[in-house]
Amino acid sequence: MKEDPLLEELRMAFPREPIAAAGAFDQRGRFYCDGVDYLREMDGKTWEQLEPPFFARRSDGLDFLSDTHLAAVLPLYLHLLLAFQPTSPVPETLIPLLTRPEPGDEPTELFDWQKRRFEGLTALLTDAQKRVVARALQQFIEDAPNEAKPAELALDRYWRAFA
Amino acid sequence: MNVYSYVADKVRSESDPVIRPYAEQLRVRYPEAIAGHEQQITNKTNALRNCKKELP
Repeated sequence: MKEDPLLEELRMAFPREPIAAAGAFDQRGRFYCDGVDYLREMDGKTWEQLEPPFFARRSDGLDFLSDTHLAAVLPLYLHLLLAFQPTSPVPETLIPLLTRPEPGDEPTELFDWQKRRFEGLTALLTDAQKRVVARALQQFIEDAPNEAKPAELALDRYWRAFA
Repeated sequence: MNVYSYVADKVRSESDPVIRPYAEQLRVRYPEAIAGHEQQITNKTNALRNCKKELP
């Protein structure tokens, strides 16, 4: 893991309260194959206590979490984005999730689902938290310029307004 | 994704009156569940394409 220059900002912006895992997959993840393991690893821990290797490996779980649980683990995944950079599956799942969808995006049939998820997540974040998301995307672009394009799109479509 | 389509069709066309209410509960949950898997397939496909671009 590399040093995360935004760790203190993440700590300031996001609460350090234990996460109640119950219901984490009720909204959109009832058929997520690794839900039981994910719930067990998440329950009762603050985002800083979550085990980085497990949650990086299981970053596919982000596509199945409820809005409230997404917001709860977001600081961990922003931290992993910068700590692991492109050497983990985190960017390929987290950055599309942070990209405000547009109707022409492929696959077009996911637009409504992506839109509900994006709006559900952003509605739960404070301006201070959105600022840290923007800063994390900017830092990722700086650290991994070869992987910058998706993060730039996410910034352009929404987060740059908070940077 | 073909598995989901197959199961969704089976559930939609369930004719047993005893099973039908339960099948309906499952049917309404499928679209949300399928979307997560489809998003993951898209993410992995894009990641693979990006990896191939990096190859010398």
